[in-house]
Amino acid sequence: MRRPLPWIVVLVLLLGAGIPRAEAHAVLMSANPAANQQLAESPKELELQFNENVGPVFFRVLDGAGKEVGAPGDIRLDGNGMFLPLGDTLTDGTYVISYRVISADTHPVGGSFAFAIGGPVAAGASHVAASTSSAWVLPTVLNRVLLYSSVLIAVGSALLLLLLEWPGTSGGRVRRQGRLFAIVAAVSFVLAIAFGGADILAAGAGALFTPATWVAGVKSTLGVSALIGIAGALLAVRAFRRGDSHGLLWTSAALLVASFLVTGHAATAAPVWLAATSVGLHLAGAGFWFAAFAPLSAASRSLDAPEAGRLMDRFSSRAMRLIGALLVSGVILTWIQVRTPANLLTTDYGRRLTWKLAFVAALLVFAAFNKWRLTPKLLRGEANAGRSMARSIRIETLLMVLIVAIAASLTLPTPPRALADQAKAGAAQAMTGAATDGFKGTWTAQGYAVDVEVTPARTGENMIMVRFRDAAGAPVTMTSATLDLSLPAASLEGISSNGQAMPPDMFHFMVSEMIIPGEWRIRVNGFVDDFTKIEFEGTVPVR
Amino acid sequence: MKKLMSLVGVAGAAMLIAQSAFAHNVFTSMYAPAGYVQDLELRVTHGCKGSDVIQVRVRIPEEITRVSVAHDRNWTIEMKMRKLPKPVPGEGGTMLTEAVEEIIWSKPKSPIPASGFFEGFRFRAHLPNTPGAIVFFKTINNCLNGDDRYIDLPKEPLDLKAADFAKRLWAFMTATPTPAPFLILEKPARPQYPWAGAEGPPPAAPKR
Repeated sequence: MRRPLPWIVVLVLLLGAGIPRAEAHAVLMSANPAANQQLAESPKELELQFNENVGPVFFRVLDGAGKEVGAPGDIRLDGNGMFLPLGDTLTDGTYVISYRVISADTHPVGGSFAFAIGGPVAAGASHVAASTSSAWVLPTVLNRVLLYSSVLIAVGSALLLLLLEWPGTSGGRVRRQGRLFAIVAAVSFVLAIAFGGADILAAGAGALFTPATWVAGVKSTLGVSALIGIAGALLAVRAFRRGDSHGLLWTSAALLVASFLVTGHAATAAPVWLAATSVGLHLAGAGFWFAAFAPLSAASRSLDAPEAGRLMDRFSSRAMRLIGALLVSGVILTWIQVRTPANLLTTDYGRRLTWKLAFVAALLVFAAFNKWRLTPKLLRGEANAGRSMARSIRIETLLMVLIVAIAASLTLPTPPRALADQAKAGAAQAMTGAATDGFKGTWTAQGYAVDVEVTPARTGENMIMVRFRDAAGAPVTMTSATLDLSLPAASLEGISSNGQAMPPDMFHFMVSEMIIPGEWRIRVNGFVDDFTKIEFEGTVPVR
Repeated sequence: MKKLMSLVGVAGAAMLIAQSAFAHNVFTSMYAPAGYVQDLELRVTHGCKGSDVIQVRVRIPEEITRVSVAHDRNWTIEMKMRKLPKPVPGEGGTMLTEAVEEIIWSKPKSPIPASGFFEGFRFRAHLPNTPGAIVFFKTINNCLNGDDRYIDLPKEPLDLKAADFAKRLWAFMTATPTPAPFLILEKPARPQYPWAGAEGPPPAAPKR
């Protein structure tokens, strides 16, 4: 108490903060429809009643695919009640109500529960895989095309300046192009955060202007990538303006490439070092090629034919190596994701990739034509050679844009690699003699272990068995056990279940809330005695 | 400027602590003098998910061997004892061989309503003479329907001297779903009652 002033301020604030506030969390008192209720027909309105006034963060109804349905109107608050009018009639099936509110003590409280129309809450029904909520797929993909193109051109422009000598004013064109696309990339990264956030919250168009959307976007894995990308893009803007600093150019290009390495299918597929190196090389090669089109096209028209030819020659000798790296890394990435050639035609991912490869082949034909037919003509100083070159390059640009667009859409379907992993996981379970379906795992915490078995680990009703052991593997009798379940991808949370003891060491849970497929977070709380809780956490894929 | 910023920071953190603390079981004051016999009041601030509270259990930390509970006309009070590994001196030259492990308030004439009111549970404890330490009292509220267990401890020990202590304390109280009530033991800065444990003012310097 040597410095009384801060403590006086604290005291005043404590008193001030304490007086007007309610003294409890918000608690859901009742709901209509209620948890696990069977309705004969679609409700016109959903109702949640709390013990106190609440402020809604979100309130929505999801179908079995995790998609928001029912064309909801505005949330209405009335006393302690929160109402969600539905514009659409829900078809027969199982739905999840998901909500999050802020109670008077500013503590956010959320929960989720299932109800069904026209029958019981689905048990083991299969649903399509949880996809991104459809409203944001189109803007996300369009923005991704923009993002890929602008990053490629910005990175490529930096490489062009670093690796090639540019005669006369042609270097200035590369710098201007690089700067423009670095700015576009920065904007596109910012949009990616917003679209990503809106997608996570499954929100409407207005969500772009709410802070929660941006927070969610920044917090996602995509957020890290975008922040690195924005830093790289802004640095690149500066680097291109100065143009003479090689260090800045290298750094900004490296940051832009790095932003692609921290997220996505390609960078997270095992073996990570191989995938990441390949993605980096692939980006650098594609960027160098893509970014060269406009400056080379301009140079071939504006420069004297022999000089343009020499520039083209220097470019193609560098490009040969980079395009070699581009193709090799492309083959490696294809192998990592696709595994067998048959998958190129039989899976959605494979078919998209096949289209991409077809366009790449066409692009290579034009490139070869430029190198072996048009460049010698330019070097010989033939008339019209410059114009033919410019036309050929325009076609190449178009092909490249198509390739980038397909590359952007490759992030939508699940690659065969992941499909194979899923199948393998199933096979491994069959080998252990358990049911062919379901999840088995062992999680550890504080010197204890718990064996977790989820059957069938499909959407609908699941049985969860847990068995507690100590570090030596001996069975442990817990006084009680509870589960907390959440599906972060669909922001479902607050689902808890009390276990039924099956002495000596097992507990049994029936859970009907897991009706949406995805990576479910499960926390098993084992109570050694009433006062000592051991928390085990793990992820269970539910299909 | 820097000072002002840190002041605002501490105040802000304290405000946030104050807000969220209402939602849990807490001690009326989170600070107590180390080494003293201190009157404590544990607040139960609400029921279990809308259900009235009919039993409160407090686990006394191991460092505390002497506890007495205030008489109460509403609740039936029980104490669970534990054997001490070795006897410790009690009041009046006696030796104690066992200590209170748990205080249980139950069978109320009128339970604590699920929301809108709080109730204090009073007991006194001889606090360990370790200024800067934080002692946790795990508590369980049993309700007509279900229970709330305020038994979570910080994932990493909290250090009062750490620069980001206020931040970590706030994180513990907000990110942990059911934090255990705690007392931060302070070096007594003001005169205290001369109950057992108090050392009294330092003796006057001897005269020559």
